[in-house]
Amino acid sequence: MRSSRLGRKLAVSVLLLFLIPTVIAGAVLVRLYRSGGLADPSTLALAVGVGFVTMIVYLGLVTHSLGQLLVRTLEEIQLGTELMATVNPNHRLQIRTGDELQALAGEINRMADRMRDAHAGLEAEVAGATRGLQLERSKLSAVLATLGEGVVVATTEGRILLANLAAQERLGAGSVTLLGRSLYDFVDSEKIAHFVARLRTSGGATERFSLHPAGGAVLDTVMTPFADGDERIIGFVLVLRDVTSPVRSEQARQRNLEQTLREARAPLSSIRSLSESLLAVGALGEDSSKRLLEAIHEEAVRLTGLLRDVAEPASLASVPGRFETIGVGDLTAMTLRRLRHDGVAADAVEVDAGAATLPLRVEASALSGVLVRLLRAVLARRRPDGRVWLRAMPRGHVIQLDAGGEGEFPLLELEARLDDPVTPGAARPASARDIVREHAGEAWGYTDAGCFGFRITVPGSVPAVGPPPSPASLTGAGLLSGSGEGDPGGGRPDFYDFSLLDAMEQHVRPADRARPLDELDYVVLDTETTGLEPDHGDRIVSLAGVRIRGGAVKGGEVFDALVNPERSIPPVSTRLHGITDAMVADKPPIDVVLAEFLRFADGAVLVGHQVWFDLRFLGPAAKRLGLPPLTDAHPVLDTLPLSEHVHGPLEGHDLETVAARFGVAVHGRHSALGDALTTAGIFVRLVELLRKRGVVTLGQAIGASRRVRRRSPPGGREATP
Amino acid sequence: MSADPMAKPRVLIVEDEPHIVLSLEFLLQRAGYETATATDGDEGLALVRRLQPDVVLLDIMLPKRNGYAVCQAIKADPGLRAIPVIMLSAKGQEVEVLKGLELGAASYVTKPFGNADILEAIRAVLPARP
Repeated sequence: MRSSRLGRKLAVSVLLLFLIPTVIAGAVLVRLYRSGGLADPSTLALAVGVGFVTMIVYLGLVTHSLGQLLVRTLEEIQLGTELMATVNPNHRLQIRTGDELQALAGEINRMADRMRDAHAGLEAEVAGATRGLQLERSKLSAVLATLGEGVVVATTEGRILLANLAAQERLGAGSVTLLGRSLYDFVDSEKIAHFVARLRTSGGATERFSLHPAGGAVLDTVMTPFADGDERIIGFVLVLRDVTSPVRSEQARQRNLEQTLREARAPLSSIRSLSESLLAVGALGEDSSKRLLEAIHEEAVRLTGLLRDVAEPASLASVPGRFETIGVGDLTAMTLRRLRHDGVAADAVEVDAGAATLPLRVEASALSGVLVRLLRAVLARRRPDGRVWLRAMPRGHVIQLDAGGEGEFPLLELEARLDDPVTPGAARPASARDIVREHAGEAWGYTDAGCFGFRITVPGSVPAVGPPPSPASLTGAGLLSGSGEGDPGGGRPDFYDFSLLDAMEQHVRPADRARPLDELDYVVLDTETTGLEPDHGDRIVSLAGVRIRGGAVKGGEVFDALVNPERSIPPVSTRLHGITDAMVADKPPIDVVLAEFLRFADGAVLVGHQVWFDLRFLGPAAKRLGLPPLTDAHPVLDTLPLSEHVHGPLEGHDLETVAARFGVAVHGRHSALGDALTTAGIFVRLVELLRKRGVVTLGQAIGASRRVRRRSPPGGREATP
Repeated sequence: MSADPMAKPRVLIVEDEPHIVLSLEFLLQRAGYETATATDGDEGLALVRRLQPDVVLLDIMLPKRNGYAVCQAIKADPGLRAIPVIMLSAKGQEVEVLKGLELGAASYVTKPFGNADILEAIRAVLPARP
């Protein structure tokens, strides 16, 4: 065993401890013995007693001194170590005992040195990372500060984590910082909750809707969610674009237009009717006078038709960013939640589940506010245990909502309720009737056989298709339009040709079918035409394509051509796409343009929204060029059935609705290039969503399209020649 | 209403545009109808009560009481309910058509109209005459 210095010290001490008293006691005993003192018992007893006491005292003193020496050193080590570990990492132990205690202190000092070095390194790393983070943060702040759009990052509970100055302004927070505040102090929590829930169920990338903070601003809002490690949505980014001014000026413009049109109708009616009467009377003897009157009458008839076309309801819903698409069921649920929140027994309200999927194009907060107000009036006045309902039914192009119940309510009072302010505290108090009119709708009260209530009309999300409904489809009563001319309407037919899909499927090579969607090249195409019937002489007037490569729309790779249809373009089509006979007079025919287009689209999958419509026009041209059918040469994907695959048959799938759902900017509707760009933006997002649903190859995408079958209205398709 | 089956059917025109009134009166009188005219909603409703016409041509944008309210009042009165109302309006939008018909109008003619439109609308709502 290794002998230690401390051990030796202790051994020598103990030896001395016993040696010294033994020697002294021996000397005393020898002295006593020689003096004969030991013979005297009392002297002996005294000597033993004194020796014993001296021994005890001596032992005590020596033990105390030894202990002091050891304990003090250990204490010094303990206190020094504590100092180093806590407040002063630079303190070091100064033990000079020359034994193991000194060595122990030395080890502790070295350990402290290593810890200090490691700590310093860590601090340097942290400082570096912090500098990086600060740099990133200042870059982000700079970006956010320079953005025209307001940006808010918030948790689903509404706590604002980040917001730029623009957002502060848009939300009407003034100079108060938004950080840490609740988003719901500024905007409707119900609406935010609704769209978060929709993102959760749809797995979509974004939602687009409008927000209306107090103060009257209108914010076109895009919501992008973010998730935690378990893919649960825990918050969202809102990008807020202030569309107050365009919305207000568009509203004013439309009001002016409506007013002018309304005022123009009466004099025109008089001129037409009076000239007709005069002609019928035949009182004008002279031929020339009659011819002049006939001319006046013809012009009046012509103006009648023109005015009727112009007055097609250019619904306010077309103002971008003002309204959102929401199902009747969601609006109803939002309304009932608000009622419960107000402490009203909303369970009494019967809801018509059958209409839940009807899509509306409305501002959901304001409209649910109207319904809450009307239902409260009904609940307050129904007879005891009388039924109360909230129903919806499609009526032509609009959706009629009926908030009613069993009981009595004078009609005049019902009408007065519609004029009560719904939002008394708001900057611009609006009545139920005002809000409904802002939706280009009408509101009225009704009483009928022990029932009473309110009916309002609001726009559906699907744009008008074809001619307006016959009066019979409205109520069964008669309707006479003032114009005798046929309706020019018409629209892109609800057209899906599965035989073409079958034909194409046979021609897609197995190698292509297995290719991942995000590796393929695509050309997204769209056409504008003279009409809807290629079999009856309608032709293409414009063809456009946009290339998608590497999952991104290549803005620089665009094909856009006007085509001479070699026939006249009907005015009704020109009105839609703006292409006139003069514009295409010197343009090449489709045979030439298609050949160029096919060079542009070489090697790409063709994509379009209702692409089969375009292919029906392009097919005959390809045939004339002696080319095989396009579906043989190119795999084809249609964004409409793919959208249905992703979001089910119940959402709207017309181009504008899908674009709004995906937050894709709509580029000039009814231009071939604009629609192709919009469709391309949609397709890129669709590929992402399809991947989440396990559709990753071309073959799987074709299969997914096949599984989607035509559905019945109201999911109507868009009407565009 | 006219009790005598041989009497001319009576049409009440409720319209504030004088030229439209002129053209309608001219047209209807020549077509064998008797006409009466009111130029605002209140007067219109009073005349409906007093004259009990066979049919009412009712403008929507009227002074004092709009056409919807006049129609509601006619349809809420058991004594007047049977009188057919033809809404006559400068508003051509579907929602107004819907509202007018929901409030009990028998049919609807939008301005600008041709004479044939008016005559057809009236013939369609009048009971068949011997």
